[in-house]
Amino acid sequence: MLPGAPPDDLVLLIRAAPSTIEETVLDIAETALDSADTYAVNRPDGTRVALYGVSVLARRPETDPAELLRRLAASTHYLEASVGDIRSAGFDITATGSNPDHFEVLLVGNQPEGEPLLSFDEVEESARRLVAVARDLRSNPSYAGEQKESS
Amino acid sequence: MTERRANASYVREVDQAVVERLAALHAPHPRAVEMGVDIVSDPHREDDDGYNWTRLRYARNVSDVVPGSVVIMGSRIGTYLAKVVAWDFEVSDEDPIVTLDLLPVTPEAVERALARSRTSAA
Repeated sequence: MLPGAPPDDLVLLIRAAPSTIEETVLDIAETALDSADTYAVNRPDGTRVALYGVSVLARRPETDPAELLRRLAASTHYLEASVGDIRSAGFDITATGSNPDHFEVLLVGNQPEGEPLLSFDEVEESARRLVAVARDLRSNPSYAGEQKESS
Repeated sequence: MTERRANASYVREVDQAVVERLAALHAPHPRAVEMGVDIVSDPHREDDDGYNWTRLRYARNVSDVVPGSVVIMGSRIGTYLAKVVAWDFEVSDEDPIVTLDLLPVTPEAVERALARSRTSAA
């Protein structure tokens, strides 16, 4: 487990999403590849791995999803999954930054820093597994509408 | 929270010669052009100071995303208003990290407010 990882039963992790599973998989794969091209993370054994990270927000039991998603009002949908389910599917989770409710799910956790980036197809496969953990896209209760379609 | 994050007006300016050098090397990012946004970025991302981040290569025009600019950033999950806070050269001299402060208003809300203002002034 990486430093700062949340306990299995503490939180649900959520991420705003486009309106289809396919778009959601592409969105997650793109952001993870870009992250790996920029940052690395320390593992407990002292090695550093590329941060194929997907940013997510913790939803504490007392927090309404609408409140968390208010800043992401341009997104029509969101994904939600428990820390335990994400970890059971083989993904590491690490805390990032000053926000105690901001985490990165590592789509790939064993690619040494400095190695060539993985192909989009390889990262997309991991993104698809992560989206499968969440099962369904949920409608964003804070969706503001009036957005242009992006593809 | 760091001092710079606590100051909402914080901007780390970039030398104009650096802006011009990077603008000369830059090609508009196809997705930014296609989406009609200034820069592509995932709105969930947060750095150590709680700012959003992306890379300069995802910009449409370099001169539109210099620190201090207000920009429309976008991804597959919509368009958002942000202020560019800094360019960070820690990973690349040619493709700095662009640090953004995601603003808690929608581009459409600002558009409507400006339209009202213009109508009132007419």
